[in-house]
Amino acid sequence: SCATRTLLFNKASFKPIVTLPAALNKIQSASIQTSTVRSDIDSAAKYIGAGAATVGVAGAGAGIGTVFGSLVIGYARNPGLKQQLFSYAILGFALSEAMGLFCLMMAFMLLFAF
Amino acid sequence: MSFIRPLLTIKNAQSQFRLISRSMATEMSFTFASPAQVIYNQARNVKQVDVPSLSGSFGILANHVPTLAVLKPGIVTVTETEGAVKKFFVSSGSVAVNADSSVQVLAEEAFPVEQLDLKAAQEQLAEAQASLSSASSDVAKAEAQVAVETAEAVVRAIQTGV
Repeated sequence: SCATRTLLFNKASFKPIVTLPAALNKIQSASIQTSTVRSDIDSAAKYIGAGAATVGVAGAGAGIGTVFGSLVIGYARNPGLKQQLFSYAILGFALSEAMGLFCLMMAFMLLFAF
Repeated sequence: MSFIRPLLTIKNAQSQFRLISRSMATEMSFTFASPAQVIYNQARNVKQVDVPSLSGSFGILANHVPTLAVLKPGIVTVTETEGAVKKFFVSSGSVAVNADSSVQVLAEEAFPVEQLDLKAAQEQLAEAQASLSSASSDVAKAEAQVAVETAEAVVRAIQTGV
């Protein structure tokens, strides 16, 4: 409405068509938004923090790739150790994945817990 | 200018590679012998051979990359194409894998693991350890050390089969 536009821009060049009572001057900044500015910045920070924290999962990807690459090389050298080599590879995969999950846990805590 | 020279070397390597003709579908021709006996003589029914070498134990299948290795006291495991798995204890020797998939394992001493006697092996280990502790010169010490390692490998081969 015309009155809202006048309150928002608050420029001297606009001539007010409707003059509102003085008590309403204090709430001019809150006329469009439904929530306060502070909680929106919180949400934005949470999203940015969670997004940045998820980048750490790349380390888990590199680690798992290294583990299974080494498994391939080890098996190519000595196929007789298939079962033992695979056991160690799965162990290494689990530990590396745990680090990635730590990272993801931090991201979710930033999103929902803090 | 700097990227022309690598192209020249690649061309030379390719022309050299063509001289070494290598078909990828050859079977392994396996020879396993010691001065005392011949166990396999150009056998074509062998699928995989696991050898213990000084640079670690590795498995040889058909079309293995040509390799030369020195054997360590341990077990040579021969897997035949029908599925039979035979284990032999070797004290030392050499293994050669050639480009035509022929494998020669030449051992100083080679015996099937079933023929080894645990009691005799443990007695021999005790003797070797005694001679190591009483060795005086460096040469005697080194020889005793070799005997100890071989005796330990025999005992381990009988007990664990590794």
